[in-house]
Amino acid sequence: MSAVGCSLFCSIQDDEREFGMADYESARARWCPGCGDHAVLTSMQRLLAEEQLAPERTVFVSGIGCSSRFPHYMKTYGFHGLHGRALPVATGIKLHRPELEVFVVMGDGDCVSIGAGHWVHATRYNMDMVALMLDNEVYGLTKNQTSPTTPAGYATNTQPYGTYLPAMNPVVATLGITNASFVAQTAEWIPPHLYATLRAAYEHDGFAFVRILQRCPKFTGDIFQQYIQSPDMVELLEHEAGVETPALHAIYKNRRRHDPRDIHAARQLAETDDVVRLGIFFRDESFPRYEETRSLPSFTAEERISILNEEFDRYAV
Amino acid sequence: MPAELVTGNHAAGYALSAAAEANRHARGATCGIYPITPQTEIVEYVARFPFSKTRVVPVESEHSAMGVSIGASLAGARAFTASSSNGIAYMVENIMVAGFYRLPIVMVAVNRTLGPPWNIWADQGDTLMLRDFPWIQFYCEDNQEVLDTTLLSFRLAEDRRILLPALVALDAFILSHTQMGTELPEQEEVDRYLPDLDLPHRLRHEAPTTLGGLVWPNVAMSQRLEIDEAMERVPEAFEECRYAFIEEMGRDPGNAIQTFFTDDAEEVLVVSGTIATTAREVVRRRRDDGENIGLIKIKMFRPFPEAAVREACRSAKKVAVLDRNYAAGVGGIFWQELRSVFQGDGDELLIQGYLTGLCGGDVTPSMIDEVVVDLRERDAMDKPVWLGIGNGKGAEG
Ligand SMILES: Cc1ncc(C[n+]2csc(CCOP(=O)(O)OP(=O)(O)O)c2C)c(N)n1
Ligand code: SF4
Ligand SMILES: [Mg+2]
Repeated sequence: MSAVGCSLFCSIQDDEREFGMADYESARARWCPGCGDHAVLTSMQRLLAEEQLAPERTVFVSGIGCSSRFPHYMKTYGFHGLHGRALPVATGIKLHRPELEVFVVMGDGDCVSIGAGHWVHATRYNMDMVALMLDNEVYGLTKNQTSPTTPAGYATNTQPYGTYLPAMNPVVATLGITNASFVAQTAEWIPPHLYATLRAAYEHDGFAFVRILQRCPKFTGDIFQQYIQSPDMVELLEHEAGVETPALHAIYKNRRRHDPRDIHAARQLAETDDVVRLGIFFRDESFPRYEETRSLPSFTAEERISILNEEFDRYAV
Repeated sequence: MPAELVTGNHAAGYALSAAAEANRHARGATCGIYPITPQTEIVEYVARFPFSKTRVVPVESEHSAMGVSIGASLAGARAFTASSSNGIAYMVENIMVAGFYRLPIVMVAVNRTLGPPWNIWADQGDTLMLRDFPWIQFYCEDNQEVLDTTLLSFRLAEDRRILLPALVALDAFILSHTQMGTELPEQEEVDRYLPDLDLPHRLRHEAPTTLGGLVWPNVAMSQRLEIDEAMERVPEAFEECRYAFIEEMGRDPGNAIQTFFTDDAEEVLVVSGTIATTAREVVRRRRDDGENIGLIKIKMFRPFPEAAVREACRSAKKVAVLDRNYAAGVGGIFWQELRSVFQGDGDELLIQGYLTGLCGGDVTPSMIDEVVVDLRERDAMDKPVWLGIGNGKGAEG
């Protein structure tokens, strides 16, 4: 995210406070033991501490779901909204308070099920914010119902004889949306990769969409086990313009150099599902951002008067 | 028929499934389902049911759940769904459509507080916000009533004189998650009670038409009038459905209003939903002590049973309405209805509103005693009385 110059918070920015991770900790997280959401929270607190983001300069907007409890556990501004409706609220906040760093936290149900319309359009708006989709491939909070990313055949409480449809691939879908400027995938059980991806998303100028594969030991405990047990089933996409995680090279031998400026390669890589690919699929900061497109023109007093006069002239008889 | 111990959600799921199955020799049934606490077990029950000719569609939102049911109903199927709270709020646009198209869809609604702030407990605000839509509305007191009223709703909604959707409401957790002895009818009994459905306005190949065009004001207005006339026919049709139910099942699914000692009561409590059970005990105890008090439980909220309520209050001088719902700036919604019932015909009656158990608070016998004491002491109606806030800080405050 770009630091937007603003006299309002400069005085706060210049203050002498130093923030440690604990300064972002709020209520004790009440997710299940072993829930992947804990890892995302920790990684986020680390990012904020490293960036020394003042709590009053940061806002977390969420929908409803286990993952959407996120803002309650961050000592920043927070808005826990309606199921599926986080993104329009974030849009309003960012437009009116551009100096705030806006993070949106959604579940898979939130983002690509009930809120799918907003996900498509927020991507197109390309506003400067980070959108995280914590994908446990199930509705967690309502206790085990099929979501659009649940694997076909997987039995849940709403599709007890096995999920009927093939799972949606949110990375492929996001890459297909006009104006998509940052699309990444990471996994919460690989903290260095998660952190590097969150950091890249934060640094991106525009709408950064990150799908985070997230373990839900309660309902989909087995879904990601194969990738955890066999790192060879994971492929890291690396590039100096994307993310690079040398610390992981000893374990993750399966790596591919992928230039995230190449949308065609990005789409191809996202389509094939023989392995799980983690990294930045696509990134382009040249796309117009909504807040710029819609920024109010600034006129001098003389210019305003001349515009007014021109307007009056149209009605002169 | 032996009673089984089942929750309100189980009773509702059973009734919806049996009603759907009963149409297997006609066009079957279809429902869109989407989870939300505390009704999720209803749609999960339906999802597990081994139907012969019913399609259960796990959609991506409540809006679509009702949308699928609308399409299925237009296509001649029996159609239904279940939801709660913000799920109903999100569904509203299609709920309205179902009503204006006169589609006999049945919805079970578990009454839960609307958010924010988030709260999952009982409050009727979610279904009462639909009060101006063309939907028949019932509020239930126990799990048997949930089951029976759901079955009855199909028969009533699908009656050709009516053709209006119907909603069956039950209190979150107090019923949805509480087991009670409940008689579950056999499928053959349900088959006999709910005959094969043949909707008059299904998509017929001999007469293809397009619905939903732009119409002149007077045409739209006449459609409203037709709805009004259908609503007026509901009380009579309801009675017929009720007697047919008694005949088939050997059980009364419950009258539109249910009175308790109102014949000579000077003070009357008006309640709905599960508050009725507690209030009845309070009234029984006070009757034993020689007090001249009675109770009306309102089961049918739309159309509002005005004549029956007026009749039941014949000897009353003071009425206390206990509402587990709140219309902003006004007070309880049943209270409002009561006042309009007696406008110009019982103006001298003192009708006081009490907001009890909003947002899931417990309505205890002592709270109802407080209501009675307050009613007895007052000589004029005043603003609604809020009960149960305490210090407003919750359990830890
Ligand atoms: C309008 C509306 N419909 C339904 C719900 C019930 N609901 C709460 S969370 C949820 C699904 C959560 O799944 P997901 O977004 O994947 O988040 P998770 O709990 O898995 O983190 C649902 C259906 C709701 N809160 N609001
Ligand atoms: S149900 Fe799953 S997603 Fe929700 S807190 Fe528990 S482990 Fe996490
Ligand atoms: Mg989820």
